[in-house]
Amino acid sequence: MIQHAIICVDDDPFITQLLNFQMGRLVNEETTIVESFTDPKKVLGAIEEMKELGYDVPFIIVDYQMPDLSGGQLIRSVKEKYPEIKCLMLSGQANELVTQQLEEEEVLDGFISKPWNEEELREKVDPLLASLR
Amino acid sequence: MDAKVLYETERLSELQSLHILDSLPEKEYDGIVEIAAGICNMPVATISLIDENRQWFKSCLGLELKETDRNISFCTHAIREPDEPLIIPDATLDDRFKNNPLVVGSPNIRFYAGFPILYNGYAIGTLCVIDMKPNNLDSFQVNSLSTLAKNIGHLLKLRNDQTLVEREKNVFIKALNLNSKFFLILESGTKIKEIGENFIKAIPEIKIGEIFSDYFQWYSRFSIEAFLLSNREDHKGMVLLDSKNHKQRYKCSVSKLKDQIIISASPVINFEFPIENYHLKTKDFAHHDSILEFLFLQETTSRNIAEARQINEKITKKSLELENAYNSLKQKEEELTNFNLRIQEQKNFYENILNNFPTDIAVFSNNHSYIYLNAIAIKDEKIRSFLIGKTDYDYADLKGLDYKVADLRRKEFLEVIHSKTYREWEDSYANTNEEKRVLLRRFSPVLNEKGEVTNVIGYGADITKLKEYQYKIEAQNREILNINQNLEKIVEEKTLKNNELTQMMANQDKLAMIGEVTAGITHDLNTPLSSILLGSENLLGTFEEMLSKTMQACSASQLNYAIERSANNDVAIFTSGLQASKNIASIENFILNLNTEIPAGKAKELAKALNKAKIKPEETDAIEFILKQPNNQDFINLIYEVNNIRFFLNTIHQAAERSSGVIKNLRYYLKEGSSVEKTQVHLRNSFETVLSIFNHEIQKGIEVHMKIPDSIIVEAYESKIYQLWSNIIKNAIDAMSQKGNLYIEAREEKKLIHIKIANDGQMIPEEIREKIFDKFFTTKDEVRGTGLGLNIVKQVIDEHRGKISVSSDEELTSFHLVLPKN
Repeated sequence: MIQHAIICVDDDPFITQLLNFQMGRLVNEETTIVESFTDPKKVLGAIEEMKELGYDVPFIIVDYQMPDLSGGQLIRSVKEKYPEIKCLMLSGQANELVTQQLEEEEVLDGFISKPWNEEELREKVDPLLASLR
Repeated sequence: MDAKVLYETERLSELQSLHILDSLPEKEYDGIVEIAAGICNMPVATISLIDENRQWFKSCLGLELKETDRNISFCTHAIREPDEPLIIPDATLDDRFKNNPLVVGSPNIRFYAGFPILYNGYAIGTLCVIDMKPNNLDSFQVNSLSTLAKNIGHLLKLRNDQTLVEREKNVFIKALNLNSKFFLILESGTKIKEIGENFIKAIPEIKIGEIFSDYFQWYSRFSIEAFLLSNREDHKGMVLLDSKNHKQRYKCSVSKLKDQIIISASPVINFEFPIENYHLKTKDFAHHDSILEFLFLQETTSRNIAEARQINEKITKKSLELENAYNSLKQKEEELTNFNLRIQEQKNFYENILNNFPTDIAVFSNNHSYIYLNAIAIKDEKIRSFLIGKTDYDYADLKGLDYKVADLRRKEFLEVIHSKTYREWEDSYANTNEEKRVLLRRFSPVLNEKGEVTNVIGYGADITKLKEYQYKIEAQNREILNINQNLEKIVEEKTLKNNELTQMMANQDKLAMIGEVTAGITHDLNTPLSSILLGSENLLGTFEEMLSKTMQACSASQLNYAIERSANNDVAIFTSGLQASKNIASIENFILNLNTEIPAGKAKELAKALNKAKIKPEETDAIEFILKQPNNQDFINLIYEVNNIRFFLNTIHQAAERSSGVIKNLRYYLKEGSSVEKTQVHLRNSFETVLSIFNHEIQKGIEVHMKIPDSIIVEAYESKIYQLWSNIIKNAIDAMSQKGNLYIEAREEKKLIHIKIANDGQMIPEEIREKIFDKFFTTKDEVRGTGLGLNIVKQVIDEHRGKISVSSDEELTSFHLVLPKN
């Protein structure tokens, strides 16, 4: 029975697909689905839709650098509406200022620097997935 | 005892005006004294005149004295009361006189009576009678002596008038002698009264008292008579007199003075004697006017005559004035003497100055002889005075020198006389100590009011030291010139270095820019690298799984099927999330409705696998074909894995291409500028390359509006063009603070390309707009801004002979560039 939905956001479609592929192998397919988006503006609407369908959204993985809406802005608005959702960030820029700022605001729950391999992703994601079982 | 007398000064002046003191005895006065002594029957009587410090006896009876001290004089006391006689009956009883030496000693005066003599109201002395025994006077005696004293006053006045007349005559004669020594004074028309000195010399037989015409030609009488009869108002005229025996004609001015005729003559030179005209005219002599016509020359205003007449008139009117004139003449003479003294003093003063002046000074007459030389010019005083009136040739002769110097000076001198302007030249010679001296000589003309050269002033200044300085300065100048040339070289080198430095700075700016965009480039490279890394990792895993497991259970034809299918698939690996759940449910339903022995539990699993393998619910034929395969489970996996392998390869390939694009742009951008020749640069591509460098910044929220026709090609240094765009775009991005619109437009116009790069970010304040192209001008902080960017823009524009201008308002900041196409 599907109970959980994990959302991945990156403006690069290859990245979303790869992320989706990797996450698909990490999650329990029986209880969890992985949704991915290339347009960050659609994310809030999607979360709302998931919630209406009765799914829990335990965490989202968001790219930092995106046109129109940055990852930082996105997780701020997500946290504002759904403080319980954990937010992980993907970024090529090891921009400590940005992450520090977001951590101080208590909107950032984890950070995955680009490029990453499956092992690194697993390290960050497993603790969150574990709580779901 | 001295007794003060009122108006003593005036009294003395009156006394002196009489000129009687120390004069010889005169019988008139001696007579009066005798009468006085007789009347009073006394042994002594005197006329005593009181001078400043003495009493002087004009006449003295009964005493052997000429004068006494005024101190002991009785008369001094008498004149204190001018209107009353002083009578001392017995001097021994009078306090004023009892100790007087004339009383105590010889002549032992006892009685004294003094009657003041008045002249012009002042008591100038007394008539006095004296006895050696006490005595007195009766009233008759007093009256008589008073009258006598009064008469003495009158007598003195008369005497004085006579003296004045005499003196007047003397003065007049003297004046005439001064003015013209040829003169005659005639009395009663013809009789000679006075003769001038020169007439006596010229005509020795001439005598006073004779008839003047005896000495002159017969017609001379008519001349004088005609003059007398003419009654000319000015009492003067002109006649010609010819000497009878001495063949001399005199041009005479005649003037009337009372009944005298004064003839003042001057000899006429070159005179042919006699003139025939005279004879012709003599018969008309009876007619006065015609005689006058002939004899009287109208131009009679000779200065001598005018002066003589003036003097004459003065004598006639006021003889005293003449004396004053004399006095003033004397005074003037004194003044003149003083003046001469002063002039002498001044002359000495200036000569002293000139002699001590450290310059040779000489004054020449206009014939080049020395008038003056100062002591510097010639030290030896004897030589100096020798040279006065002499020339440089004389000096050369004296010193045994050749005429070289004299010749040169003569030449310059003549030049000055001729040109009337000064001349300068340098004399160079060795002095007595064998030292080389240089003198600056100068001759200056002195011109009179007619503009003629009267004198020449020469001076020579020792300019030896100046010359030395001049040589020194010239040497220094040469040195400075050398230094300057060296400096120029150094400056040239510095300029070269500076250019190199500028180039280095430009490169540095490029590097700084790279530094700034590194983050962006990192991101641009990171993203494809992530894809490559993840893609290759998954590719390896999937490939291994397929080779080691799936392919063991599948046939080659099944592999072909999977490969063909993957070639038609789109990018997505599989449908996930909610859509996937729906697809799975739909496929499961289709499987259950198929007439197969597949159990319901198995159907769900197969549906999930089919979905993963990107087989959609509507592909019913494909689902049916796959499920019919005996190894359908493995076959689905094979399709899934082949799909994935193709996807991963695609991902890796595209990511690699993107990375290579980034690197390529970066390489373009970093190309070395100076060594590259101009190439044909595609304008739009060049902007795209630069924009790609800033892709990361632009992505943050800047919308780029580029309108550049594909056809525009510009001949330029490519790397510099990149630098140009990147600096302007970087500035624009900074101005927009990551959000806004960037407009890049270009159009061709004949041989020019107009480019506008504009943004709607922060405007450039007007006060700094002119400075933004200056080197090191920056509004950014030290870390971010080098102040080179827009200066490099300007340099690049200049290098391409283009122009750049900037306009900025609240809406839009625009850089307008004009570049020549080639």
